[in-house]
Amino acid sequence: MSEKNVKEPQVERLDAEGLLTTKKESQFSVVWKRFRRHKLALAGLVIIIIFVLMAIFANAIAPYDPITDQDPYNRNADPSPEHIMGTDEVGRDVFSRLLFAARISLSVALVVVLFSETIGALVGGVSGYFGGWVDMAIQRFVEFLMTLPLLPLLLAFSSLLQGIYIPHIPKEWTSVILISAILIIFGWMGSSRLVRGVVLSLRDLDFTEAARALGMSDLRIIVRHMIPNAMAPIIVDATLGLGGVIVLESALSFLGFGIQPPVPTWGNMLQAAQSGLLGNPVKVIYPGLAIFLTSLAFNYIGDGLRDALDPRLKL
Amino acid sequence: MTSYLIRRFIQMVLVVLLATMAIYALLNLAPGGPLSGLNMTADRKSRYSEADKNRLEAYLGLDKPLALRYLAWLVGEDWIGADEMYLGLKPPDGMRFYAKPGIAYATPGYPVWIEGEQTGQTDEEGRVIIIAKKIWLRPSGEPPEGVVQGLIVKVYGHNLHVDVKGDPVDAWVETTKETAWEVPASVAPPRPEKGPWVNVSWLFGPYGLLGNYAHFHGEGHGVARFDWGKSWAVARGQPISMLIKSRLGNTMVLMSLATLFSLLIAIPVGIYSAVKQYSTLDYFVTTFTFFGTSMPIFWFGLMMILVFSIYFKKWGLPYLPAGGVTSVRPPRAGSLLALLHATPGSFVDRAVHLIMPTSALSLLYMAGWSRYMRSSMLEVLRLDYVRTARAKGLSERVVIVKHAMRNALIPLITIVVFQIPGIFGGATITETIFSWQGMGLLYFKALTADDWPVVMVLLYIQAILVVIATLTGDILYTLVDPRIRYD
Repeated sequence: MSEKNVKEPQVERLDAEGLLTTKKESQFSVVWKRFRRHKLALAGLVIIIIFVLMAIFANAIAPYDPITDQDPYNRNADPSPEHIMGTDEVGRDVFSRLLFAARISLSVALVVVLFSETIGALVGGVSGYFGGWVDMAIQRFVEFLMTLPLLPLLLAFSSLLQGIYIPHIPKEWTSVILISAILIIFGWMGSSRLVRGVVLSLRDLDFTEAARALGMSDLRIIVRHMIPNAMAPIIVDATLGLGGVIVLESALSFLGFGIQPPVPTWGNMLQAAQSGLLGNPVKVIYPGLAIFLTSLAFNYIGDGLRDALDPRLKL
Repeated sequence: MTSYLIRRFIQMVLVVLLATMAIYALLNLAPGGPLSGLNMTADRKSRYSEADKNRLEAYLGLDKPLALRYLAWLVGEDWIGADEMYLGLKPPDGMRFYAKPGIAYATPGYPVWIEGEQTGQTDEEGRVIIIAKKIWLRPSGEPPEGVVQGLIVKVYGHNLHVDVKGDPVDAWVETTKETAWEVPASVAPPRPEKGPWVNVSWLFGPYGLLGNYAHFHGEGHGVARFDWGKSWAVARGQPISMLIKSRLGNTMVLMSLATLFSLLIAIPVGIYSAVKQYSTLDYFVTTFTFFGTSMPIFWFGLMMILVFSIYFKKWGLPYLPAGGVTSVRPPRAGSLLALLHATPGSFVDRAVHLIMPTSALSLLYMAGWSRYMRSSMLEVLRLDYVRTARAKGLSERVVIVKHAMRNALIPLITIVVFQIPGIFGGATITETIFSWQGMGLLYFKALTADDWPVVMVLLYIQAILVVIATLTGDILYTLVDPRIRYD
């Protein structure tokens, strides 16, 4: 009996030490540790970092200007030391264009995903938090939008709005803004569903009740308490969304309804390469491979993040 | 269930109606339009004059207010301007409307004879004003004495702008209720005997509320009455129904084959990789699904053409046709078609052309669906009743096939049902790459050519099919899963 009484404080101290050391680990490092285990996700991350760096420093890396440096005597050239991926149908350096296209494609994807996740989070938060007829109306609308065939609609929208003029914006950048806007308009539904699900489960918990009792406004509760709790699924959805948007944007640009030349994107480079398929088939490979690799990398990162953030999470 | 079905049906009609409004507004309010490119030509001689533009606008029906145009597109324009409207339920008169011979049949561009008194006055635009006593529309034979002959330029309510034959001055012809009309029976058929009558002349008649816009220029019955109208650009002047008819078959063959193949492979693969989770095959399947879902189909298609058509030809292997539905000429030596002795248009010829688009589409679908099937099966396998079945001592095979699989297949209903719109609507990207003459390519071409009627009809058909698919899915769920009930 007496021995036990002596030993107990020691045990307590040991436990406390153990707890202290685990507490030092931030949430980020826990996630990172788990993420690292997913080797393919790590590879994806490396690819994306390389692509992003190349896009950011495209000015420094690219040997030529992607739009103005045209060599009319050297069109559709094969790879050579001057042009490591050859030249395109008007004699522009394919490698330089690929770098600047990465800049456009990646930033369009980033902007679209940021906006659509934000809109989705807000709509989903409002829908789940208020419930009742608001929820009912929003959900019916979301369901309706989700059943619509996406590609035909996107094509119709971008084809009809092609002639639009936006003031204070250089003409060739109009299509970039337009396509981003269209992709945002049709891209927020998935994340709104996710956030709504989380909010529904949190709405009646004590801490929400407490926030309400403290006089917090509904909007503030949604933004400060509901949406942060839904961050894990939002991040995963956003990562997967980045890949999806890149493919969608390239598909539109490939069909000629997306971002218009001379602004280079992987999609419209592929379209240009397609018309010369018989003469210079290899050029089809580069932009397509870039699209595929980026999309694959984002998909794997998303998968890794899902495992790291919440293993039970399923999307 | 019956009341549920009725409610859903009403909802369906409303949704389709809303969709038609959205489609029409989208296409008609957007900047640009079919007439915006008219004067792009540098050649001054081939430029369009203002009158030409007017006539074209009237011909395309763009001179009317948006609401009326929408109505004409939806339920037809054959009754607008009619003094009486006939709603018959028996074919061939079924759903036809009857218009009393009158201004309703005055179509711009057609000849007209006018008997009337010339007031001697002219309007602001220098046109001679005529008050008509009798008007012959689309006349034939010899004109009677004293009639003015001409061509209709435009119809303004119950007045006509007529380009008088041989006269430099145009005429402004005013008609009254007393004006007599002579219209050939082929243009204005006699009033059918049967059917209830609804008089809409107070609204749509030439003297009605919308009189100033109420003339009609065509015989369109409207998409709601299964008259899709005519194409503007893809096949100018051709009925859209013909366009669709010539492409629907191709699309249905491609889409249903791809759907069938993908289902036949994706279901067993998905189930197997779920049952043997973390096995080599499972890793292979998950990798494949990741690659498949990230793969842009347009690039994949191009790579297929690159390898199987272009490089196979270079290497002297039996290469595949790069696109099209059938070949036009006898196949060249060295191609797979020549090897199979396929004559253009034969079954073998078609089958060989199907290989690449079908496999591209199938791979795309397969990747998504096997992943879906796998996660659905994994979810079911975790459930208690599967454990109970195992505990009862049932063999693993029975547990999986009879117990788990049946429930895991339920979510597949959604996929199959939402394939319905796709089977009719086609796959735009795949069809474009392989120039497969289907609905998807038609849609793409119509969009590129600003052929609004075709675009609108295709979107309208899609809207209807999506709504039908949603309802079918819901009903199938109740039939398959007794836990789901609608009251």
